Amino acid sequence: MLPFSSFEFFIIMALFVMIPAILKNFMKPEHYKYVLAFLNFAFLTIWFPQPWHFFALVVYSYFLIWLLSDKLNVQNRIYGVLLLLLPMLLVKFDIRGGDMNKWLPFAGLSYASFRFMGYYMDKAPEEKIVNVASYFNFLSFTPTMLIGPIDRMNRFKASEDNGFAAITTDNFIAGWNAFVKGLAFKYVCAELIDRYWLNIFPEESTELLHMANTMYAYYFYLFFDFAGYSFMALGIGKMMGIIVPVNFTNPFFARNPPDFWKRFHISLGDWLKDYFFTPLYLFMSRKKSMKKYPVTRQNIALFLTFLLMGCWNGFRGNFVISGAVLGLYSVVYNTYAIQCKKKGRDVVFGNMNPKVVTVISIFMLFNLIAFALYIFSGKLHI
Amino acid sequence: MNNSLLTRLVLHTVLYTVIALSLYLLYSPLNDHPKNKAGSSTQFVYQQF
Repeated sequence: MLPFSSFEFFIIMALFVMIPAILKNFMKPEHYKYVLAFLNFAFLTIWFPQPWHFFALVVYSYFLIWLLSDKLNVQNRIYGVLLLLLPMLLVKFDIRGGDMNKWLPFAGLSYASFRFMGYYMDKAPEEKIVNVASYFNFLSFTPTMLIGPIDRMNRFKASEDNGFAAITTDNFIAGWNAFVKGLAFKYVCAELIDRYWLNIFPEESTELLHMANTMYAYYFYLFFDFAGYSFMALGIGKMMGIIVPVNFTNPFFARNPPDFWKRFHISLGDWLKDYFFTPLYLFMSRKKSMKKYPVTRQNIALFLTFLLMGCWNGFRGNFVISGAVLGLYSVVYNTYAIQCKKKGRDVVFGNMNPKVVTVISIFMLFNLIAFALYIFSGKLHI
Repeated sequence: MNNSLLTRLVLHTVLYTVIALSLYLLYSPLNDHPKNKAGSSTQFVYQQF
């Protein structure tokens, strides 16, 4: 059983909420991580498909981080990153064969890879690797292991250390409200859109009206479906004493691409910014030939970041092109923002009323994002 | 109970009732939509995501 795929999962999550709340009265605060590890281990071994694959990934990544960082103190992290991402890269590039097909891919591989790579990059050389129970919990926390958000070790560890103390009535109520919000988003709103709106016209139709209908319906469907999962994970986590980061905040009201990525799949946007965009930009800044062109550097790094995001979903035309289109939006906006700053005025809207500019910006971005996600969906047939 | 608490109580009651009713209507065996593969109102999440 995969998380959120059956009614039994919610019964199990009710137990996951109840057990730490009861044990809180008998156990020391520092034992919370062992309770959590026991629960995550139980879910994986009893219900999760291919649990040993996931355990093998945990052992592989933990050993590599310990070896490269603690034992050998390797300064250049690129080798470590490549080795850590090797299982995911084999899947993404489809370099598998023979017995390897039995091992790859498996559920949870992508998000776990994002998490341990982030930990490896953030870990200071003198800092000892975390306790194995905490590391296991970080990768396998049941509500978030499959659909995110992509958490960071420092944040998760702080939340885990405070686990028993965070099981309070206030957190329970806040968690329950987030859970119900997610339930309504995913199982009511997304389901209604899927049944009664998304497929009212044939997907293959090239009539403009039909295509526009599918485009807008898919954007709303994707948001309610994905945000629904994220809110349920956040809610269950909070009721268990683990504070999961917010992943969606009203993306339909975003005014520009940077603002959109602060509202839509926030944890992925932040991850890509910290571990791809910034290192790439700094790498290019050190190149003599690029030193004179800071805007070009920014734009290349931005475009490649979104292209990578598209490719991460798979090397299919719709994913790669949608990534490129989203990259193009960011490049155009970045150039526009820099020009406005340079000239001290809005180079497109001039002296127009700021409220009108905001409304136009929201409307434009809403349509542009809906178009990019329409390409992403693979439903656009030209 | 002050007014704002009372308003919240009423709003939450309405909201929770709407969600519960929607779930029942969407996933009940009475709903014969082809995408309703659940077969039972208590098994609504059986559908693959």
